[in-house]
Amino acid sequence: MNTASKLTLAALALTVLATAAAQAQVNNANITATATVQQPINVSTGQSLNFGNVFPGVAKTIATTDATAGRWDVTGQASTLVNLSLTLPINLQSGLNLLPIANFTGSYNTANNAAAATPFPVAGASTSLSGTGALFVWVGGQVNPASNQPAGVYTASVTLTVTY
Amino acid sequence: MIRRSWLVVLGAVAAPLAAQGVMVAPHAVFMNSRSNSGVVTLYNPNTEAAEVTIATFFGYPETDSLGGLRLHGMPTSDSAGRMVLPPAAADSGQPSAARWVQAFPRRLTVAPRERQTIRLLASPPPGLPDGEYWLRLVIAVKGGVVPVTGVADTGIKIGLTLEVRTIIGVNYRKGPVRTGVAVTRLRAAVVGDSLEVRPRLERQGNAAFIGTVRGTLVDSAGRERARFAFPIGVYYVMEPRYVAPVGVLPAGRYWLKLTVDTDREDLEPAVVLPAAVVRDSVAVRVP
Repeated sequence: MNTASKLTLAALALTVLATAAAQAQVNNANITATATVQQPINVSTGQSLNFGNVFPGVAKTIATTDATAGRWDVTGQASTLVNLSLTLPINLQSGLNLLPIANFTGSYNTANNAAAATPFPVAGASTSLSGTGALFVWVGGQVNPASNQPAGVYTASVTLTVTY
Repeated sequence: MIRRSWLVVLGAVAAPLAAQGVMVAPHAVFMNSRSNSGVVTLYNPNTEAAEVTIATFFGYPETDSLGGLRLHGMPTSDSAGRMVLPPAAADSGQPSAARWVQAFPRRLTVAPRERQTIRLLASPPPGLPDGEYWLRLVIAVKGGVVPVTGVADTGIKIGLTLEVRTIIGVNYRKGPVRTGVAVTRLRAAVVGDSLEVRPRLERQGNAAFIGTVRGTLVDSAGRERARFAFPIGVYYVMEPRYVAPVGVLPAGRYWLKLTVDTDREDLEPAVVLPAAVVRDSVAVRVP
């Protein structure tokens, strides 16, 4: 039975009971309490993609199975088909200075277990939420600082799009 | 122990990014010509405010050649990672509501543990024929910047901002609408320890078919060996690929029984259009 229907029935039952009680007493007034529980979807950034220290001239790779890989947590209706895609930067930027970032990898799993996750092309992939409505998505990548890479704080955005 | 100590140090120097994102409800919006309005609620369950941007465009789900879900009209991104919506002309000849359904506000900040309402207002053109019209709503949430950290200061520090975009459907109904689905070309095979199923689903009527695809695999004695259920929205034609675990099956002949109905646990019954239940079946051989 639909959740909303259950709640409606529960409210109806309360009303009937209250009505019965009211017939035996006086000066009672009844109200009907109703609530609709909607099935939400939630996509949240569970963990940052953190490269930590980076040295000039030394590429650094974070795999999706690394502890510092980025992770999104998705929850929603059980078994729903979803499409996942990543929007990725080519460079990190610090003022006018650029730091190349490439070789992105993505994976997903219905359990929070990156080691057993399924790789997917960053352009897009289709999968399903679990029987409890859960999905975990990981992202890794590689930064390639030049040997003369200027010092600075380099930033960019990584975006996960979840289509229902 | 050494690894654990290292992780402790890492945790001490790298302040974790607080969870970012908002809950979106409902996950599908149904509007009609009586109210010309709809509501989406955003709730921020986290400890930091969430910056949210709302956009609309025309699109609908379809399947690719492998049976995966994709969105017709999917937005792209420019070199800076900004979302690029499909041009308005892309919905020409389609039952699009993207030009006359507006979302308000389009930019907002949802405070921690607070909720905000996105209102959808429809201003359909005069003389709009009866039927169902579609658009997609994008809820883009900007996450926090990764804390810049490091024990040894190399002078190069990196902070990646993680963002999420959630795309949900909006269906606007005017006048009488009806729906249904036809199932053809049902294929099924056991591959390894999984059952792979691909039906061809074609929408009937003038509104999207919103329902559930259910499958049951039975052996020659009629015993159930596997079962699955997947929510589905058929806007035109789809050939989704479903995979369900079946374990190791003995060689023999099995039957996949498929049912497509409009039962949806996750949607208000009032918004789900009724339609006849459709059944089909196909033999599955396990060598």
